Amino acid sequence: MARKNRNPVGKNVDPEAQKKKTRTLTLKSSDGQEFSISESAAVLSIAIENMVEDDCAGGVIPLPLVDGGTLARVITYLNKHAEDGASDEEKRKFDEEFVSGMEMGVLFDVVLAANYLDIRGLLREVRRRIADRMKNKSVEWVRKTFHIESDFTPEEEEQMKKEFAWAWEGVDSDVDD
Amino acid sequence: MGSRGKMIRRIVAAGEKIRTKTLIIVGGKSCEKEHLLYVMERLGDDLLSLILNKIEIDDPNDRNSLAQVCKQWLRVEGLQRSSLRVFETNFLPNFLPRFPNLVKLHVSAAISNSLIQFVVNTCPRIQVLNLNYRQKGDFAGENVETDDFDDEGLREIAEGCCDLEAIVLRRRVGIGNRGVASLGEFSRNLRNLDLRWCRKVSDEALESIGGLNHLEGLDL
Repeated sequence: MARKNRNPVGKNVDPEAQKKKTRTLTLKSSDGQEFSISESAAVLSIAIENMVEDDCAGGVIPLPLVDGGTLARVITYLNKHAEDGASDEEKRKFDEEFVSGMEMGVLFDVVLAANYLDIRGLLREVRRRIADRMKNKSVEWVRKTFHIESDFTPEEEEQMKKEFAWAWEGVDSDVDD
Repeated sequence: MGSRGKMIRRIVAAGEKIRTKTLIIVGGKSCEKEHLLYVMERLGDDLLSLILNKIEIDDPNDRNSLAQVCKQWLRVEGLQRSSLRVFETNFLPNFLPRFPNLVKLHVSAAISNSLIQFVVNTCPRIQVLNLNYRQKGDFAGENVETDDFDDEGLREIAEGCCDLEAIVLRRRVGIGNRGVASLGEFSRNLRNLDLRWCRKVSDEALESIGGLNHLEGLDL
Protein backbone atom coordinates (compact mmCIF):
# COMPACT_ATOMS: atom_id res chain seq x y z
CA MET A 1 0.00 0.00 0.00
CA ALA A 2 2.94 2.28 0.64
CA ARG A 3 3.65 2.40 -3.08
CA LYS A 4 0.29 3.84 -3.80
CA ASN A 5 1.12 6.96 -1.92
CA ARG A 6 3.39 7.84 -4.79
CA ASN A 7 0.35 8.86 -6.70
CA PRO A 8 0.02 12.51 -5.69
CA VAL A 9 -3.76 12.52 -5.84
CA GLY A 10 -3.98 9.23 -4.02
CA LYS A 11 -6.72 8.14 -6.37
CA ASN A 12 -5.52 4.56 -6.41
CA VAL A 13 -7.29 3.82 -3.18
CA ASP A 14 -10.58 4.58 -4.83
CA PRO A 15 -12.21 1.33 -6.06
CA GLU A 16 -13.59 3.21 -9.05
CA ALA A 17 -10.03 4.14 -10.05
CA GLN A 18 -9.02 0.50 -9.74
CA LYS A 19 -11.80 -0.46 -12.08
CA LYS A 20 -10.65 2.13 -14.59
CA LYS A 21 -7.24 0.54 -14.67
CA THR A 22 -8.53 -2.87 -15.59
CA ARG A 23 -11.29 -1.69 -17.91
CA THR A 24 -10.21 -1.40 -21.50
CA LEU A 25 -11.49 0.91 -24.18
CA THR A 26 -11.07 0.55 -27.90
CA LEU A 27 -10.17 3.62 -29.95
CA LYS A 28 -10.65 3.59 -33.70
CA SER A 29 -8.55 5.84 -35.93
CA SER A 30 -9.68 7.62 -39.10
CA ASP A 31 -8.14 4.87 -41.21
CA GLY A 32 -9.94 2.12 -39.34
CA GLN A 33 -7.18 0.85 -37.06
CA GLU A 34 -8.29 -0.18 -33.59
CA PHE A 35 -6.25 0.25 -30.43
CA SER A 36 -6.88 -1.03 -26.94
CA ILE A 37 -6.07 1.19 -24.04
CA SER A 38 -6.83 1.09 -20.34
CA GLU A 39 -9.55 3.47 -19.30
CA SER A 40 -7.27 5.14 -16.77
CA ALA A 41 -4.85 6.08 -19.56
CA ALA A 42 -7.57 7.03 -22.05
CA VAL A 43 -9.29 9.48 -19.72
CA LEU A 44 -6.15 11.63 -19.57
CA SER A 45 -7.79 12.91 -22.73
CA ILE A 46 -10.59 15.17 -21.57
CA ALA A 47 -12.50 14.52 -24.78
CA ILE A 48 -12.44 10.76 -24.21
CA GLU A 49 -13.24 11.21 -20.53
CA ASN A 50 -16.35 13.17 -21.51
CA MET A 51 -17.39 10.45 -23.92
CA VAL A 52 -16.93 7.81 -21.24
CA GLU A 53 -18.89 9.85 -18.71
CA ASP A 54 -21.70 10.41 -21.16
CA ASP A 55 -21.72 6.67 -21.69
CA CYS A 56 -21.04 6.98 -25.37
CA ALA A 57 -18.13 4.61 -25.01
CA GLY A 58 -20.05 1.36 -24.96
CA GLY A 59 -18.22 -0.24 -27.84
CA VAL A 60 -15.56 1.34 -29.95
CA ILE A 61 -14.75 5.05 -29.69
CA PRO A 62 -14.30 6.42 -33.20
CA LEU A 63 -11.77 9.23 -33.58
CA PRO A 64 -12.34 10.34 -37.17
CA LEU A 65 -9.81 13.17 -37.02
CA VAL A 66 -6.82 11.12 -35.90
CA ASP A 67 -5.01 8.68 -38.18
CA GLY A 68 -3.55 5.40 -36.97
CA GLY A 69 0.09 6.46 -36.86
CA THR A 70 -0.69 9.53 -34.82
CA LEU A 71 -3.10 7.71 -32.53
CA ALA A 72 -0.42 5.12 -31.81
CA ARG A 73 1.94 7.89 -30.74
CA VAL A 74 -0.69 9.51 -28.60
CA ILE A 75 -1.46 6.19 -26.90
CA THR A 76 2.22 5.67 -26.15
CA TYR A 77 2.16 9.04 -24.39
CA LEU A 78 -1.06 8.30 -22.48
CA ASN A 79 0.20 4.91 -21.33
CA LYS A 80 3.38 6.43 -19.95
CA HIS A 81 1.50 9.14 -18.11
CA ALA A 82 -0.98 6.69 -16.61
CA GLU A 83 1.77 4.28 -15.57
CA ASP A 84 1.79 3.35 -11.91
CA GLY A 85 4.77 4.65 -10.05
CA ALA A 86 6.25 6.66 -12.92
CA SER A 87 7.82 9.67 -11.21
CA ASP A 88 7.37 13.21 -12.51
CA GLU A 89 11.04 13.24 -13.41
CA GLU A 90 10.63 10.05 -15.44
CA LYS A 91 7.62 11.47 -17.23
CA ARG A 92 9.44 14.68 -17.98
CA LYS A 93 12.32 12.74 -19.48
CA PHE A 94 9.91 10.62 -21.46
CA ASP A 95 8.19 13.76 -22.83
CA GLU A 96 11.52 15.19 -23.86
CA GLU A 97 12.48 12.08 -25.77
CA PHE A 98 8.99 11.58 -27.11
CA VAL A 99 9.02 14.80 -29.11
CA SER A 100 12.73 15.22 -29.78
CA GLY A 101 13.01 12.98 -32.81
CA MET A 102 9.75 13.96 -34.46
CA GLU A 103 9.74 15.46 -37.91
CA MET A 104 7.88 18.71 -38.34
CA GLY A 105 4.90 17.07 -40.03
CA VAL A 106 4.58 14.57 -37.21
CA LEU A 107 4.76 17.32 -34.59
CA PHE A 108 1.84 19.02 -36.27
CA ASP A 109 -0.11 15.76 -36.49
CA VAL A 110 0.36 15.27 -32.78
CA VAL A 111 -0.48 18.87 -31.89
CA LEU A 112 -3.71 18.61 -33.87
CA ALA A 113 -4.58 15.32 -32.19
CA ALA A 114 -3.69 16.59 -28.71
CA ASN A 115 -5.89 19.61 -29.29
CA TYR A 116 -8.79 17.55 -30.61
CA LEU A 117 -8.53 15.00 -27.81
CA ASP A 118 -7.87 17.73 -25.25
CA ILE A 119 -4.71 16.30 -23.73
CA ARG A 120 -3.28 19.39 -22.05
CA GLY A 121 0.17 18.11 -21.13
CA LEU A 122 0.87 16.72 -24.58
CA LEU A 123 -0.45 19.84 -26.26
CA ARG A 124 1.85 22.00 -24.14
CA GLU A 125 4.87 19.82 -24.83
CA VAL A 126 4.41 19.66 -28.59
CA ARG A 127 3.54 23.28 -29.18
CA ARG A 128 6.59 24.31 -27.18
CA ARG A 129 8.67 22.08 -29.39
CA ILE A 130 7.22 23.57 -32.56
CA ALA A 131 7.77 27.08 -31.22
CA ASP A 132 11.37 26.25 -30.31
CA ARG A 133 12.09 25.22 -33.88
CA MET A 134 10.76 28.52 -35.18
CA LYS A 135 12.86 30.74 -32.93
CA ASN A 136 15.63 32.84 -34.37
CA LYS A 137 14.76 31.95 -37.96
CA SER A 138 14.22 34.10 -41.00
CA VAL A 139 10.82 34.52 -42.61
CA GLU A 140 12.13 32.68 -45.64
CA TRP A 141 13.36 29.75 -43.56
CA VAL A 142 10.00 29.34 -41.87
CA ARG A 143 8.13 29.48 -45.17
CA LYS A 144 10.42 26.93 -46.74
CA THR A 145 10.45 24.56 -43.78
CA PHE A 146 6.70 24.64 -43.23
CA HIS A 147 5.91 24.74 -46.94
CA ILE A 148 3.90 27.89 -46.52
CA GLU A 149 3.54 30.05 -49.57
CA SER A 150 3.48 33.75 -48.95
CA ASP A 151 0.07 35.14 -49.89
CA PHE A 152 1.25 38.74 -49.71
CA THR A 153 1.64 40.78 -52.85
CA PRO A 154 5.04 42.50 -53.14
CA GLU A 155 3.27 45.79 -52.34
CA GLU A 156 1.68 44.34 -49.21
CA GLU A 157 5.01 42.97 -48.13
CA GLU A 158 6.63 46.36 -48.57
CA GLN A 159 3.82 48.07 -46.67
CA MET A 160 4.06 45.54 -43.86
CA LYS A 161 7.80 46.11 -43.42
CA LYS A 162 7.15 49.83 -43.00
CA GLU A 163 4.44 49.20 -40.46
CA PHE A 164 6.74 47.04 -38.43
CA ALA A 165 9.09 50.01 -38.24
CA TRP A 166 6.35 52.40 -37.16
CA ALA A 167 4.81 50.29 -34.48
CA TRP A 168 6.80 48.27 -31.97
CA GLU A 169 5.72 45.86 -29.42
CA GLY A 170 5.92 47.04 -25.86
CA VAL A 171 5.50 50.34 -24.07
CA ASP A 172 8.20 52.60 -22.67
CA SER A 173 8.04 53.69 -19.10
CA ASP A 174 8.31 57.40 -18.46
CA VAL A 175 11.10 57.74 -16.01
CA ASP A 176 12.98 60.12 -18.26
CA ASP A 177 11.26 63.41 -17.55
CA MET B 1 -7.67 -11.57 -18.85
CA GLY B 2 -8.71 -13.78 -21.74
CA SER B 3 -11.34 -11.42 -23.05
CA ARG B 4 -8.96 -8.56 -22.58
CA GLY B 5 -6.41 -10.39 -24.67
CA LYS B 6 -8.96 -10.86 -27.39
CA MET B 7 -9.79 -7.20 -27.45
CA ILE B 8 -6.24 -6.16 -27.94
CA ARG B 9 -5.81 -6.12 -31.67
CA ARG B 10 -2.72 -4.10 -31.50
CA ILE B 11 -0.57 -3.29 -28.58
CA VAL B 12 1.37 -0.14 -28.73
CA ALA B 13 4.39 -0.32 -26.52
CA ALA B 14 6.51 2.64 -25.61
CA GLY B 15 9.29 3.09 -28.07
CA GLU B 16 7.64 1.21 -30.90
CA LYS B 17 8.62 2.66 -34.21
CA ILE B 18 5.65 3.92 -36.10
CA ARG B 19 5.79 5.01 -39.68
CA THR B 20 4.77 8.54 -40.48
CA LYS B 21 1.44 8.81 -42.12
CA THR B 22 1.68 10.01 -45.68
CA LEU B 23 -1.22 11.09 -47.75
CA ILE B 24 0.17 10.78 -51.19
CA ILE B 25 2.77 8.19 -51.80
CA VAL B 26 5.10 9.74 -54.28
CA GLY B 27 8.21 8.92 -52.40
CA GLY B 28 10.74 10.58 -50.18
CA LYS B 29 10.69 14.28 -49.66
CA SER B 30 7.62 15.21 -51.64
CA CYS B 31 5.59 13.06 -49.26
CA GLU B 32 6.70 15.11 -46.34
CA LYS B 33 5.90 18.25 -48.31
CA GLU B 34 2.39 17.12 -49.24
CA HIS B 35 1.88 16.05 -45.70
CA LEU B 36 2.95 19.39 -44.24
CA LEU B 37 0.78 21.25 -46.75
CA TYR B 38 -2.15 19.17 -45.61
CA VAL B 39 -1.42 19.65 -41.92
CA MET B 40 -0.85 23.40 -42.20
CA GLU B 41 -4.21 23.68 -43.91
CA ARG B 42 -5.88 22.08 -40.91
CA LEU B 43 -4.07 24.28 -38.44
CA GLY B 44 -6.79 26.68 -37.38
CA ASP B 45 -6.37 30.10 -35.86
CA ASP B 46 -6.98 28.85 -32.32
CA LEU B 47 -4.29 26.22 -32.49
CA LEU B 48 -1.84 28.49 -34.26
CA SER B 49 -2.38 31.09 -31.56
CA LEU B 50 -1.21 28.55 -28.99
CA ILE B 51 2.16 28.57 -30.74
CA LEU B 52 2.49 32.18 -31.89
CA ASN B 53 2.26 33.87 -28.52
CA LYS B 54 4.38 35.49 -25.89
CA ILE B 55 4.71 32.41 -23.74
CA GLU B 56 6.03 30.14 -26.47
CA ILE B 57 7.89 32.73 -28.54
CA ASP B 58 9.36 35.10 -26.00
CA ASP B 59 11.47 37.27 -28.29
CA PRO B 60 9.42 40.05 -29.97
CA ASN B 61 11.76 39.92 -32.97
CA ASP B 62 10.86 36.29 -33.52
CA ARG B 63 7.18 37.10 -33.32
CA ASN B 64 7.61 40.00 -35.74
CA SER B 65 9.32 37.75 -38.18
CA LEU B 66 6.75 34.94 -37.84
CA ALA B 67 3.94 37.42 -38.41
CA GLN B 68 5.38 38.09 -41.86
CA VAL B 69 5.15 34.48 -42.98
CA CYS B 70 1.62 34.68 -44.41
CA LYS B 71 -1.69 36.43 -43.84
CA GLN B 72 -3.04 33.89 -41.38
CA TRP B 73 0.05 34.12 -39.21
CA LEU B 74 -0.02 37.91 -39.40
CA ARG B 75 -3.62 37.96 -38.25
CA VAL B 76 -3.15 35.41 -35.48
CA GLU B 77 -0.02 37.11 -34.14
CA GLY B 78 -1.83 40.44 -34.10
CA LEU B 79 -4.70 39.05 -32.05
CA GLN B 80 -2.20 38.02 -29.38
CA ARG B 81 -0.57 41.41 -29.08
CA SER B 82 -1.29 43.23 -25.86
CA SER B 83 1.04 46.22 -26.04
CA LEU B 84 2.13 48.50 -28.82
CA ARG B 85 4.23 51.60 -29.26
CA VAL B 86 3.38 53.71 -32.29
CA PHE B 87 5.84 56.13 -33.88
CA GLU B 88 3.91 57.25 -36.93
CA THR B 89 0.24 57.99 -36.47
CA ASN B 90 -0.69 58.70 -40.09
CA PHE B 91 -0.71 55.02 -40.88
CA LEU B 92 -2.57 53.88 -37.79
CA PRO B 93 -5.70 53.00 -39.79
CA ASN B 94 -3.59 50.58 -41.82
CA PHE B 95 -2.15 48.50 -39.03
CA LEU B 96 -4.07 49.08 -35.82
CA PRO B 97 -7.03 46.84 -36.80
CA ARG B 98 -4.58 43.95 -36.56
CA PHE B 99 -4.33 44.53 -32.79
CA PRO B 100 -7.89 44.62 -31.42
CA ASN B 101 -6.84 43.19 -28.05
CA LEU B 102 -4.32 45.83 -27.06
CA VAL B 103 -4.19 46.58 -23.36
CA LYS B 104 -1.32 49.07 -23.48
CA LEU B 105 -0.76 51.69 -26.13
CA HIS B 106 1.98 54.30 -26.33
CA VAL B 107 1.76 57.14 -28.83
CA SER B 108 4.22 60.01 -28.50
CA ALA B 109 3.46 61.76 -31.82
CA ALA B 110 0.64 64.18 -32.56
CA ILE B 111 -2.65 62.38 -33.04
CA SER B 112 -5.87 63.97 -34.24
CA ASN B 113 -9.30 63.70 -32.64
CA SER B 114 -10.52 61.50 -35.47
CA LEU B 115 -7.58 59.15 -35.06
CA ILE B 116 -8.18 59.03 -31.31
CA GLN B 117 -11.73 58.00 -32.07
CA PHE B 118 -10.41 55.35 -34.42
CA VAL B 119 -8.09 54.02 -31.71
CA VAL B 120 -10.90 53.88 -29.15
CA ASN B 121 -13.22 52.03 -31.53
CA THR B 122 -10.53 49.61 -32.66
CA CYS B 123 -9.00 48.80 -29.25
CA PRO B 124 -11.71 49.24 -26.63
CA ARG B 125 -9.86 47.10 -24.07
CA ILE B 126 -7.03 49.57 -23.52
CA GLN B 127 -6.12 49.91 -19.86
CA VAL B 128 -2.90 51.88 -20.08
CA LEU B 129 -2.71 54.74 -22.53
CA ASN B 130 0.55 56.64 -22.70
CA LEU B 131 0.16 59.77 -24.80
CA ASN B 132 3.26 61.55 -23.50
CA TYR B 133 3.94 64.00 -26.32
CA ARG B 134 7.44 64.26 -27.78
CA GLN B 135 8.19 66.86 -30.35
CA LYS B 136 9.96 65.74 -33.45
CA GLY B 137 13.33 67.36 -33.98
CA ASP B 138 14.68 69.83 -31.46
CA PHE B 139 12.90 71.27 -28.50
CA ALA B 140 13.63 74.92 -29.35
CA GLY B 141 10.29 76.02 -30.71
CA GLU B 142 6.88 75.98 -29.16
CA ASN B 143 5.48 74.67 -32.43
CA VAL B 144 2.13 73.35 -31.48
CA GLU B 145 1.19 70.75 -34.03
CA THR B 146 -2.02 71.88 -35.53
CA ASP B 147 -3.82 68.59 -35.57
CA ASP B 148 -3.34 67.18 -32.12
CA PHE B 149 -6.29 65.94 -30.10
CA ASP B 150 -8.05 68.11 -27.53
CA ASP B 151 -10.80 67.76 -24.93
CA GLU B 152 -13.12 66.26 -27.51
CA GLY B 153 -10.65 63.43 -28.15
CA LEU B 154 -10.14 62.90 -24.44
CA ARG B 155 -13.88 62.57 -24.03
CA GLU B 156 -13.87 59.83 -26.69
CA ILE B 157 -11.21 58.01 -24.68
CA ALA B 158 -13.07 58.40 -21.39
CA GLU B 159 -16.33 57.20 -22.87
CA GLY B 160 -14.95 54.42 -25.05
CA CYS B 161 -12.19 52.82 -22.98
CA CYS B 162 -14.18 51.54 -20.02
CA ASP B 163 -11.23 49.64 -18.56
CA LEU B 164 -8.87 52.61 -18.55
CA GLU B 165 -6.61 52.47 -15.51
CA ALA B 166 -3.78 54.80 -16.42
CA ILE B 167 -3.41 57.70 -18.82
CA VAL B 168 -0.42 59.93 -19.51
CA LEU B 169 -1.27 63.23 -21.21
CA ARG B 170 2.03 65.06 -20.74
CA ARG B 171 2.56 68.09 -23.01
CA ARG B 172 -0.77 67.65 -24.75
CA VAL B 173 -1.50 71.34 -24.98
CA GLY B 174 -4.99 70.81 -26.32
CA ILE B 175 -6.13 69.25 -23.06
CA GLY B 176 -8.07 71.48 -20.67
CA ASN B 177 -10.44 71.24 -17.72
CA ARG B 178 -13.33 70.02 -19.84
CA GLY B 179 -11.40 66.94 -20.94
CA VAL B 180 -10.32 66.16 -17.40
CA ALA B 181 -13.95 66.50 -16.35
CA SER B 182 -14.95 63.75 -18.78
CA LEU B 183 -12.32 61.48 -17.22
CA GLY B 184 -13.92 62.23 -13.86
CA GLU B 185 -17.29 61.40 -15.30
CA PHE B 186 -16.56 58.16 -17.16
CA SER B 187 -13.22 56.68 -16.13
CA ARG B 188 -14.29 55.22 -12.85
CA ASN B 189 -11.40 52.75 -12.73
CA LEU B 190 -8.65 55.29 -13.32
CA ARG B 191 -5.71 54.77 -10.97
CA ASN B 192 -3.01 56.89 -12.53
CA LEU B 193 -3.34 60.26 -14.18
CA ASP B 194 -0.43 62.29 -15.56
CA LEU B 195 -1.21 65.87 -16.60
CA ARG B 196 2.27 67.38 -16.43
CA TRP B 197 2.77 70.35 -18.74
CA CYS B 198 -0.85 70.39 -19.77
CA ARG B 199 -0.97 74.18 -19.63
CA LYS B 200 -4.69 74.54 -20.12
CA VAL B 201 -5.50 72.44 -17.07
CA SER B 202 -6.14 74.65 -14.03
CA ASP B 203 -7.26 74.29 -10.43
CA GLU B 204 -10.78 73.95 -11.72
CA ALA B 205 -9.92 70.41 -12.86
CA LEU B 206 -9.17 69.33 -9.29
CA GLU B 207 -12.84 69.04 -8.53
CA SER B 208 -13.42 66.41 -11.23
CA ILE B 209 -10.18 64.65 -10.29
CA GLY B 210 -11.54 64.46 -6.74
CA GLY B 211 -14.36 62.28 -8.05
CA LEU B 212 -11.94 59.57 -9.18
CA ASN B 213 -12.21 57.26 -6.22
CA HIS B 214 -9.56 54.75 -7.26
CA LEU B 215 -6.86 57.28 -8.08
CA GLU B 216 -3.48 56.28 -6.65
CA GLY B 217 -1.09 58.40 -8.65
CA LEU B 218 -1.50 61.98 -9.87
CA ASP B 219 1.10 64.07 -11.68
CA LEU B 220 0.40 67.75 -12.23
